[in-house]
Amino acid sequence: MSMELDQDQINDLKHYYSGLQAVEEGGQKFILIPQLVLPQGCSPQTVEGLLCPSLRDGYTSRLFLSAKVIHKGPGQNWNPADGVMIAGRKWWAVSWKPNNNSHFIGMIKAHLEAFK
Amino acid sequence: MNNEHQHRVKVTINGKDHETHRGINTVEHLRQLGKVPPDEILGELRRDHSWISLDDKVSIEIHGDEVFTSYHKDHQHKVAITINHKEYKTHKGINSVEHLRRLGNVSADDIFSQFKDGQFIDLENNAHVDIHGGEIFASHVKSCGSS
Repeated sequence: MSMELDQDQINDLKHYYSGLQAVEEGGQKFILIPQLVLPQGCSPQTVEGLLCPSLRDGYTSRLFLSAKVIHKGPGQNWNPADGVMIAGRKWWAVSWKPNNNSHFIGMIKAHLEAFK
Repeated sequence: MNNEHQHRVKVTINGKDHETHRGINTVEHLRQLGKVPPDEILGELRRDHSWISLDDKVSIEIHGDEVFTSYHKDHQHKVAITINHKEYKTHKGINSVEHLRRLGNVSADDIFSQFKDGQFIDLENNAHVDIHGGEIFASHVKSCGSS
């Protein structure tokens, strides 16, 4: 069962990212970040991001990217290896445990560690 | 002039490097060196991250690599910054990361970053940030890593 997205946290997220959109599939809610800048060294460095802030695939949260970026960070294990279709588009995520970050921005920052 | 005074060493004043003589320097000389405006208080940023204001009439001993910063005498001259989505006031100019962490009640174990040009730049605990107002900072609990 999906939780409702916390509107206060979404408002906080707007301090960092513009054009946020809510996406829902299979009862699970996501936040689409149209311009997510990845750490230096990633190619491409700017992608679309799709944050799933609730439990999915055994992870407490997941950050999907619109591209399978090339990077030298520790998160080299793409899971699923061939990407995943969400809301009619293909997305990519690395296998990464973001720890207990309860705020959306903390989750995003924790996931970005995989690419540093 | 003795040999000690001939030995030039580096000091940093408001982010810029200057040369001065090793040994006793007047604060007035340091102010002139760094072109510190008369309405600003000059202070020394110590290695333990403390900031000690310096009276204009005193002299201090310079060994080299000392760091000085100044800020406006008017304590109202503070600017707003955001730490973890909450607004805080701090003084304009050089702020230590340690000060910013304390201000935002950020745990020493958390990764502390500045959000700049759309990306998060991680800040070391011994770093300093030149604050102009409007800067955005955020922290998070370090990840467990790849699974």
